[in-house]
Order: sequence, then C-alpha cells, then structure tokens
Amino acid sequence: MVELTRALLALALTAGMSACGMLSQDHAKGTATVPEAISPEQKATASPDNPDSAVLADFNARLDNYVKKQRALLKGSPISEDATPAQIKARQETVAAELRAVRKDAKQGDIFTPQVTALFKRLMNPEVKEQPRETKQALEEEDGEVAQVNLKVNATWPASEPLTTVPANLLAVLPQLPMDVEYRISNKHHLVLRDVDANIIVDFIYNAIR
Amino acid sequence: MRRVVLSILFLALTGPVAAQGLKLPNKDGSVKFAVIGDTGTGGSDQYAVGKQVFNFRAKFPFDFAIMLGDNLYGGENPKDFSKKFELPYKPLLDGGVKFYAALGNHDNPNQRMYKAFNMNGERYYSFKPSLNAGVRFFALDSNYMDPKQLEWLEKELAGSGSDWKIAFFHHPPYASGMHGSDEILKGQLEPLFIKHGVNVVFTGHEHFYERIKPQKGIQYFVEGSSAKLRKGDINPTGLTAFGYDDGYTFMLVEIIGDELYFETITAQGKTIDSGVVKKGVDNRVVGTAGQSAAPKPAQAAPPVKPAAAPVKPAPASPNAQPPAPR
Repeated sequence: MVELTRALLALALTAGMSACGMLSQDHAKGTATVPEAISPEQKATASPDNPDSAVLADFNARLDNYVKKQRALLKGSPISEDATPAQIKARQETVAAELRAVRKDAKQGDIFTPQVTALFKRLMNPEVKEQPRETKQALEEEDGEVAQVNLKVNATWPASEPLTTVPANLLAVLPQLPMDVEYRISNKHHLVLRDVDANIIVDFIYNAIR
Repeated sequence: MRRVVLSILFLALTGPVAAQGLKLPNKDGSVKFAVIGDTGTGGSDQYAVGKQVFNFRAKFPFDFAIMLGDNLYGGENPKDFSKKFELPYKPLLDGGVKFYAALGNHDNPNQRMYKAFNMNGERYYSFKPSLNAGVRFFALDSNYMDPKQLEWLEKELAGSGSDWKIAFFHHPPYASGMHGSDEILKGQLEPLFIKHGVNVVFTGHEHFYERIKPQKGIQYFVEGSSAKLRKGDINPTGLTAFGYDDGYTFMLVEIIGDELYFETITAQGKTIDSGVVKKGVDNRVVGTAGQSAAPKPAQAAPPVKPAAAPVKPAPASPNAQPPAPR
C-alpha cells in the first residue's frame, strides 16, 4: 500500500514537473535543449490504468521545452496585423535561424525518443490497419506530388513539397499538440514534427506508418 | 503593318471578354459572393478566370469571395503572393472585394497572417458577411482536422444562430474524381454538420467542378478548377448531380431568404451550371434544382451539341433531387 502511494506521488510529481518544463536539463555548455531520457523510475511510476502515461509525460516535457524556446524567439520577432508577405517570410526565416542556433546540437530522437516512437507507432498502426484504404487515400496528394522530404532536424520543409494532409483518424489518436507545432507526413510513411511558424523540421520518426 | 495586325489580333484574343448572361436573381440587399478554388498557380488560366470574375462583378456586385485552398502552389516568397494572388485579382482587390481563404495541402499555414486572406491569424475561423444577413461561414483547415479544431467547430456551430451555415475547406467529403470522397474527413465532419444544421459546403482539391446530389440534408459543391484542371477526371457516380471537367470555372452565389442560388461559369464566361438550393424550416436542404449544360439522363432525344463538354450526370440515387428548370 505504501509502495503504491509512493508510486502515485512520484507519478504526480513527474507530471507536474513535466508541465512546468522542469525536466529540462541543459548540459554544461548550455547547448542541449531537451530533457534527459525517460528513467526507469519514471517507467515504474506509470499509472496502472495507463501504462503509457510516463512516456507521454516525458514527450510532453520535451515538447514543452521546445515550445518555450520557440515562443521566446517569436516574442522577439513580433508581426503586425497587416504584415506584408515580405515581413511574414522574413519573420519565418529569422525565427528558423534563431531556432537552429539555439538547437544546434539537436538530433533525431530528442523529442521522439525510442519510447515515444514505439508508442506512436502502436497508436497509429491499428488505425491504418482498420482503415487502410481510407488512410492511404487521405495520404494521397496530387499526381506525383507526394511530399518527398529529405528529413533532417532543423532543416526547412521545402516550399516545393506539399504539406501532406494528416488523416484525421491519426490525429485523433496521437497526443494533441500546441498550435506552435504540428504533425506532418513525408513519403507517406515518416511522421514529422514541424514548427508551424519557422517551417522547420523539429524531429521525425522514420516509417511511423506501415 | 504586320505588327499592327498582330497587335490587333493579340488584343482580340486576350482582351477582356464581356460577362455574358447572368442567371442569378441579382436582387438588391441579397448576400452575394464568388467562389474560387485551387487558384494559386500564377498561370494564364488563373488570370483568365480572375478577369472573368471581375467582368461578372459589373453585373453581379458581390462584396467578397471565398477561396477553397491551394491558394499558393510552390514557393511562398513575396513575389509568389503577387503573381499568384495580388495580380490575378487586382481589379477585384482594387474594387474592395474581400477574400476569405481556407488552407489547402499546398499552403503554408503562415498564410494565416496575410492580411488580404482575412484569416486573422487563425488556421480556421468563422465570419458573418453582415450582421443581419442570417448567414455564417466556417472556414476549416481540412489538412489538419485535429480534435481541437473539431471541438472549436462544434462550439461555433452550436453558438451560431444563423439560418444559413456554410462551411468551406479544401478536401471534399464527397467527390467523384481521382481522390474521391474523403471518407475519414466525412466521418469527422458530417455528424457535426448534420447535428448543427450546416446547409451548404464548398470544397476544392479535385481539379474540376462537381455538384453533388444533396446528402443528408446538405448540398456539397466541389470547385477546384479556378486555375488547375484535370480534364476528363470525373468518373460520375451516384453522387454526381452535375460535373464539368473540360474547362476552368468559378462560382457566383446569391442568398435570398431560404434560397441559395448558384451559377458556375467558365473562363470564357459561359454558364455551365446554375440552380437553387432550398432549405426547409429546420434549415436542412430540402432540394436542389439545377439547370446545366449537360444532357439530362432521362432525355431520350439526342441533345443539342453543347458548347461545353459536360460530364453526364449519373443515374439518380434515392436521395437525389431531380433537376428541374428554374
């Protein structure tokens, strides 16, 4: 009983810290932008009702950490209500450049950790299997215009590639995102976390959809 | 001399084509608007349609236009905004026409900050063209129909006291082209549309024009050929009331009381479909009467060769409304 209480308290603490972004731990050089990987203790404190809660809390913490940085940069590049296309473009590029500088050591898996990757695949693939034709149809774009993006963290999503629609059934099962970032799909299979304002690739999962 | 003749010939071929006959009632005080979809190519066909929309405005003075997504194909540099939007519709913009855009799969969501698209920084939004019009429009981002947007839509629809609730977005829940009906999107949106009395839906994505037979009390239109065209792409199904995939088109729409009149016009100014959507006291569409350039399926006599090349309507389905001349 005591152990269970302790586990629940630890879970609550983990979730609270995640929400506050306290899990983020910068390295000595100040370049790391993501929290440490999920610990065995966190895994152990997952709610019996939702064994994925620790992984989700960890994902949220990492995402929160990113969004805080992005929003701070956006504050430095305000945009007026009657912004011109040139001003919109300039802001996008400025914020992208600043994010690249702040996250210069960012790499694939910083947010979509192996645990998060496994969870996301597990959440999405039943949907794909259940509605294979419909999901495939939703991923189809114009003739020969399926997004073919060379995925690289901090790279720009190329203007030449469509922003492939994310099927609503997949969005319904994935964790909801703040407005600053979104899921996109490249090459019909790879799940991408894309910064909406900066138009850059934040992280990605190869072959998330099979 | 040769140069003069060539210039005259060029002007004759490219000069403004006067708006031809208008079939809408065109009443004072009605809600009037234009519909364009899949526009942002910057190509000559977009300019031709833009010119024709402007020509028709001289007869049919609409105040705003809705854009059904793919507002800018390819690059989104300042020069792209100019070439693919500001120049083709310059006479309309100069004339005070407001454009309300929805996002397509080729659109960077940062378009939401572009003043001329009137999105107020939002990927999805609603607006009323005037306070007492009894009409509210709901612009959705069908590229990203996440639970947050669905929640917003439900709240907006529930709180809207408007009799006419018109949704517009990029991907069609019903269509008979290469993409076909977006079943997943339909599964998400249609229950909300039915529950809250959405009467009319405009979508693009498919590069042709298609009027769908009313489905569950809702009239759907596909207008994705205002700058891109996929000739011969309509494979008529039981859904098709009328389809046209042989030319570039736009729509003019007028709302008077419980009736919504529509007219679909080609880049050459020829009307290829027109009619009226009628709604009942519960705001559900009770029927759509259309008059198209197509031969009707029930007609035994060989039709007069149409100027356009319309797609034959499919055989009537149980919930189809028989086309009737207005």
